Amino acid sequence: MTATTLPPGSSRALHRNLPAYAEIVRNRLKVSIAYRQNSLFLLAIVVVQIFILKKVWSALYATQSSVNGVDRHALLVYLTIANIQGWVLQDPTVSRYMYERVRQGLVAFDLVRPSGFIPQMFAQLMGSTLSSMMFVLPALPIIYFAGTLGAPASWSAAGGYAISLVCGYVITMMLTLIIGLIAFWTTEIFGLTMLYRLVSQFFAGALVPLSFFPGGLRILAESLPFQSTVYVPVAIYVGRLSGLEMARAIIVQLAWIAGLSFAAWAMWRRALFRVVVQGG
Amino acid sequence: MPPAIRVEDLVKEFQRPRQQSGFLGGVRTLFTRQFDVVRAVDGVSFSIDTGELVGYIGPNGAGKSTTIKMMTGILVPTSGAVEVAGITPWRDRERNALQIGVVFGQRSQLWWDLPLIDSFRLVGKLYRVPQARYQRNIDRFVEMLDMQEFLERPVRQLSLGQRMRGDLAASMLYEPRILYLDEPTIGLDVVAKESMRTFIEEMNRESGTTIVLTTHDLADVERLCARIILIDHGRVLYDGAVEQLKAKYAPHRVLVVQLAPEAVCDGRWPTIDDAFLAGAEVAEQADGVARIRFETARTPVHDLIAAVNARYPVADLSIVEPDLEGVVRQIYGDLVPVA
Repeated sequence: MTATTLPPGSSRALHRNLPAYAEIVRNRLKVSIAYRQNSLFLLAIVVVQIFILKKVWSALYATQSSVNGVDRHALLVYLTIANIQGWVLQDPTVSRYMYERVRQGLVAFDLVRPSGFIPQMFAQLMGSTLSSMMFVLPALPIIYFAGTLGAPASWSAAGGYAISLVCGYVITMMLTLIIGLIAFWTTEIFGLTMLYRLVSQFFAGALVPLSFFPGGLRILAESLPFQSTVYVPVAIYVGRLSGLEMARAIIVQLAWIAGLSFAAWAMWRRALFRVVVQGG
Repeated sequence: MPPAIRVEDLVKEFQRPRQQSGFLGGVRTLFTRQFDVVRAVDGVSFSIDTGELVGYIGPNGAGKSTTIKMMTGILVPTSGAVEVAGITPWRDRERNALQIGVVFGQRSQLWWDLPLIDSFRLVGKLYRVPQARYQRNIDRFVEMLDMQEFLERPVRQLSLGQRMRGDLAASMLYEPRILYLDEPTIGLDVVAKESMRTFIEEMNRESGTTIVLTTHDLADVERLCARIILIDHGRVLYDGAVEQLKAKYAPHRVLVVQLAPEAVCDGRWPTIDDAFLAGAEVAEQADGVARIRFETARTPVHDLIAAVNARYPVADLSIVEPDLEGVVRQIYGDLVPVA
């Protein structure tokens, strides 16, 4: 064997390991199907949340047709899509999986694989996203009645949404990875993941759109990466962000991708040198 | 041929936060930056040739697993060098990964929620095993380890013995040149242990796999290894042939003599006197059975037997060889640090 060595991130290494990553994605899908009750339960929570948000916001809109320059229909579409998207893209089970691996010392096996730890975790994340999509598609009719679904504001909004969604997904993956990597230092991140979910959901604009935030809170929200995961793509979808504003928001997303990738890379370098495999 | 594994002056230190005691001790521990440095591995050196099957043994906390984790590239040592087939494991993880297999008896590399065969398929893909070779190895291992019955069952439903067989097979699917086994037989019953040992032996003999075996079951070592490396407190205490270790630490054999009934005189068994037995001593005797301790190097067995035979009517004789466990117990016993 004369396998030339390549850093695990290089494109040839990626190509060679592609069947392995595909297999990880497949296995992840199988696990989701094996635990489908759990996935359906989580999906039900999201549907209920969408329903409650619709009721609350409709009450607010009862006396006026437009709040803050956003009409009722656009807002309800925003909330529905933001919550579905948040549910599909952000599966808490993967960061939990990562910290379980570290906590039980199973990370030892991930580290002696030829395909690199980080790409393996990305494959896990993609598998979980695919399985979430699988559950959400048949549930769309129910979601339609619980919330409000509507077409993108325009063709450019649809295109912008597609690009922004991909960026938002990469940012979500990076954030999940960083949270998981913290386990190498603390060996326990359960509390942190709970906090992360709460903070990210709020600052991503899944409950209230960012444009409704009051002054100081809005500045804080705009300086955090969470808004790029949900608010930006969905605001583009409903036409709230368009033209130059849309372009600017996508550039900010790209900057977050660069910054978070660097942070994850730096953390990973350090994590490698302080791996403490728990037990035995 | 260069050695398969070369370990030189390997040191690994861990930092542990110092626990504060007393009222609110837990809270104080959180905020103080005091650490105790623990040297788990303290200057270990050895080299292992291609095709060797070496037992790496030591009491709990001796530093065995830490050494294994550095050899596999999981841990980065504090200082010292490791070379596995010319590669420094933690620097070149990918290339190292392709040539090693790892089994940790206390944890499993199998996918907990999925059928065993799915984990095998994933391992095949991870190590880029060509389909034909994968199928050939699967067929062979399934037969050798008798896994047909539970191949389609989710790993979480397997018994420990079944799971360990699965883990062992997974680690050899891609035919690594070097196999690390960290307590592979822990908690297994006799049948499962035997099946594991046979497999390990065959992998070493037929595929020429270099194997490092860590275990607390010295029967594993006696059955499988010609050479052992014994460590404690992070240092190598002994490195060499199992036979020599026994000769060095347990030079004594025991000759068990059962006297014939006609020796009874006045209703009492005669007492064997060690004065006649050059270099041997009677360790204990009762009811016509005597245990005579002797050193093979100084007292030839046949001389001793002849001496006993000449004076007493003997019904039965047997020689008890020292087992490795006794030897190791003796060494560990000697090493208990004086408080």
